[in-house]
Amino acid sequence: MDHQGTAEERFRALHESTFADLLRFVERRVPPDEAEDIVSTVYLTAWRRHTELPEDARPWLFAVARRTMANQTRGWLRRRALDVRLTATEQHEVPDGSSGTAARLDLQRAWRSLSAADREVLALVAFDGLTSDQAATVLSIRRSTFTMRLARARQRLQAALEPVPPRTLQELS
Amino acid sequence: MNDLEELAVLDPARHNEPTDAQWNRSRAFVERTMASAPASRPRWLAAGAVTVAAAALGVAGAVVVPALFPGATQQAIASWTAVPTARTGDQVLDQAKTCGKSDVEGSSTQVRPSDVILAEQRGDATMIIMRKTNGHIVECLGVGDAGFASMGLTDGTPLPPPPAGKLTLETRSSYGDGDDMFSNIIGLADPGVTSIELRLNDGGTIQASVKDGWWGAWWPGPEGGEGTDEFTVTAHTATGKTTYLPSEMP
Repeated sequence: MDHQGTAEERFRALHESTFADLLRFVERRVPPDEAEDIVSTVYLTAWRRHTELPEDARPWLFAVARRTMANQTRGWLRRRALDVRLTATEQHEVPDGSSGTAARLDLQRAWRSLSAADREVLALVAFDGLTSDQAATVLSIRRSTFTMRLARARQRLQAALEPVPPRTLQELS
Repeated sequence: MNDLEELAVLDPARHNEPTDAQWNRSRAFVERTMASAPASRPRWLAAGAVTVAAAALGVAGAVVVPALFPGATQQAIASWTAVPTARTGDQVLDQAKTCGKSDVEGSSTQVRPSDVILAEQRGDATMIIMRKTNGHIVECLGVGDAGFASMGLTDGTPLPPPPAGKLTLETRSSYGDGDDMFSNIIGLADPGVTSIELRLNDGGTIQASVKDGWWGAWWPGPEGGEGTDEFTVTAHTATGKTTYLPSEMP
């Protein structure tokens, strides 16, 4: 097999092993009808950079996807984070009285109270299943910086889940 | 179950699997991409006295080029300007003829001003992107009408155009040695791109040239050939801008 054939076979194998994860990564962050175009752009970039691809290519692909989405998302530069969607059905979910549903709604409320930057850091681990090393690659930051951001985001998530004391009328003096 | 595991219930894509149609579309896109885009990028190669100190990135099958004449590099770097002056084909016809005569990608039998796609002047140095008689596109860089370095960019096969308002990167490299080292970057630009600037991590800003679907710049220093992202590229359009790290440019 010549070099070109080897490169093409390797790239096909990369596509087969990463497409589903990459599509999910993008679908979490942009409307579904835009996701496939983003993913195509990522593979176009990857092919043109295939000699530079690291052995663990998935975070590299996610990083390219993140930047591609960021460049197409108005307002990203203000937030400096790429926000993660919640599904539309969850926005309108009605409690059915079960403890599981109530806990989930609490979690949703806590999630929405966080900043976009906190949500992005948490999502890279909780949704995308990345290690801190991989997530740091996606964000182009040092691992220690990511670990610090993740710890702070988790603290703020926990704080948002703490029960809030009921509001009561204050006696006027 | 910890807090991160609990969060997974909010994942909007946790049950998503690509459909057969999505797999088919993506596989077909990958095949088209590999068929239409070269697996390697061109680069400068020295055939003379000048040493390649830092090779171009991600390249194979590079094109042999004549070396920049000794002394021309120093003159080019000494007179370099961050903002180029655009030149027409008529204005650089002598340099274009020199470029056309070189055997990089085949010699041109005749060179006309209309063969010049993009030309810029930075101090004493002229950079040209031009089409040869056989349709191949080359870049030439030099001082005056002699001492050109040259690099093949395409073999005449149309390259996939960038999306609206976006850029591609065809090649980046550095060339030379020590104080004579310079960097070079060339790519395609959608017609909606009105201007392009490079920002080096050390704070320097370089205005690139953009014309007729191509963009390019050169500057003193090694950044173009380094594997890390030592600069950013920003493409401006009438409605906004897009900033790239070189490693992430398609």
